[in-house]
Amino acid sequence: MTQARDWDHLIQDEKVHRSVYTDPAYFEDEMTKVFGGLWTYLCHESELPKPNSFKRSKMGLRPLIVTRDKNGDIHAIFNRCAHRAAAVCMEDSGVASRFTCSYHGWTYKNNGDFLAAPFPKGYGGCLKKDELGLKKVPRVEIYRGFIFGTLNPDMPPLVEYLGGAKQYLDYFIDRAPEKEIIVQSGAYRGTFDANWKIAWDNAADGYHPAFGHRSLFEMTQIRNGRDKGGTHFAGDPDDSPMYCKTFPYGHGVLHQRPGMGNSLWERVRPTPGGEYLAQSLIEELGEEAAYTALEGAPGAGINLNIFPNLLIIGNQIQVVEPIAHDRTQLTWYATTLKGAPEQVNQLRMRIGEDFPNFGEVDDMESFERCWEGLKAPEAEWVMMNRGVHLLNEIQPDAAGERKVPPTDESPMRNYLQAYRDIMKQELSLVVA
Amino acid sequence: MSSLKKKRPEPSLYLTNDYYDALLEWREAVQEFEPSQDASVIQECTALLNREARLLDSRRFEEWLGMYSDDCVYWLPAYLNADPRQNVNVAFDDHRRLEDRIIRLETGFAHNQEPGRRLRRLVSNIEAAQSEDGQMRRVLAKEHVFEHRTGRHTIDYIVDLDYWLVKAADGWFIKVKYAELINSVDGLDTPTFL
Repeated sequence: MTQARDWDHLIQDEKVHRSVYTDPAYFEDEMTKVFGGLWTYLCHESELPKPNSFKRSKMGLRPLIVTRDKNGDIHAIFNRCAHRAAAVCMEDSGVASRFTCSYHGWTYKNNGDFLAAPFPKGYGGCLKKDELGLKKVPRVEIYRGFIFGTLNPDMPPLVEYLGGAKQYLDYFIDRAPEKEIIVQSGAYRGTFDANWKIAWDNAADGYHPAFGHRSLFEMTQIRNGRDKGGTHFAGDPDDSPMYCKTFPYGHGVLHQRPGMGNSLWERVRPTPGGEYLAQSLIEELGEEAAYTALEGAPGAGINLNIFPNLLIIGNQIQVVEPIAHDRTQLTWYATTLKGAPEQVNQLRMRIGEDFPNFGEVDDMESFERCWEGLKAPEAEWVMMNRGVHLLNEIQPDAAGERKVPPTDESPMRNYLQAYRDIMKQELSLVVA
Repeated sequence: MSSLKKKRPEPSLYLTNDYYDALLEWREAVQEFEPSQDASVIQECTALLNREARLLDSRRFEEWLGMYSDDCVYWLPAYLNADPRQNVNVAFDDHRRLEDRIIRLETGFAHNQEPGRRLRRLVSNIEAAQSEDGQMRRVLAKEHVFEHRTGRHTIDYIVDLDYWLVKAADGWFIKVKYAELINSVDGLDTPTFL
């Protein structure tokens, strides 16, 4: 399947070849190997709130149903009838103890087991029930509610895969008074015409905000003065305490929080209903407790990227969903904090609508402009050499992590190297 | 450049629990909607919707915002009638955030809008009803929005519109615009303004 490709030529320290983004044949391999060979984020446990809950998901292009069976166990099964391949579930989410194919009526339990095929005598008794279940993702593991799956027997356990990135996910989750986030508040979905990795190039890019998001920053300054919103990107971000960190397996983080002053609530752009909700919380809890709780409303101030498809941004979970080599969807799941006052969780909804409307629109425009530029075959290379001069000076620590300035392009190099590693391998992926 | 730039943003105090309750009740009541046969009501509402579409099409945003009451909501749900207190929306803007939107578009650096996206709104299937006391109107309509992006493709949106109009001394104002994109649960191609 994989032709010999010189991956070390295509992905170097300073540059990446355009074909890595534009070649549809690479895309086909990625959807099998990157999504399948690594740990892919599938969904959050709170999206399966009760026995027999299900939610549709994807592993690359593979259609999945993630289910909680009647005993509470989680399964990730292929949404593909064993008979003629028809998808057996077309609802996004819901409650079902079994799935029946609408084409010929084959029926399965929500753990994937085969139950029955109509008019069995036509098979002359040769149907082997135990071979006819829906295919299953053999390894499903959960970290604090985040459900991942892999088809690769050689992947280390999820916790090890997440490595040092875990502590930033912990930071995101631990903002909840009961140390749990809940994903039950809908999602905002944006699509753009470009390869999915172009969104990854942007995901911990502390270099672009002052330019890409200039409209948002100028508006905020006109309306709200110099101390609100993303003004910590206004000067050279490398002069600030913000930083990026890279981890094994392609994960990275842009940590904005150290550059955002004492209080996130003080800094967040004014929000619909914001003053009313803050006032009502103060009346309920008193000033001190109210202001402590309000710190949970704005985004966490991190851009955490778990390769290949999970991004934590603001107070959302963003999932990167490749559709084709030239089309991608970004799904922003809103989250609430377990144990937080309802005013705070309501604020998270209104704050969660801010950046997709005022910032992400310009990011997606940048992605499509990159896609336009990549159509020139003679201009072969995309640069990612910002910070290359620090490669010797800043060596990975014992855990393989590097802490670099916030505008350094190390996060981009780092995920592309993880990508290169998995694309080079001959994998034996398995399903149950 | 608009005079909005000089306006001090007001604290957002009107989106109370009562406001959200009333909003959901109003949406619920659409089930009992009975269109008025009064030609003047229908005519006035049609004129208002046409005017809104014209001002938006020609990017006369400040005049457009003048059609809204001070306690307005501009609501594009992601999921039908989901309580906005517990759910994220494509947009849920109060008056202040609509001002923010306009000022951002006018900075000249809203890359997503440059060079000139052109939108055209075809409004149709207009039905209207008026409350007994004559102080409130509801208008239902469908909208087909074409968005042309220079040198690229044309996107279209089909939208169910539901308006809550309130009467003031100087005419009718939009208190709530509920605009439901029929594909809102699928990916949207970066709409910046609808």
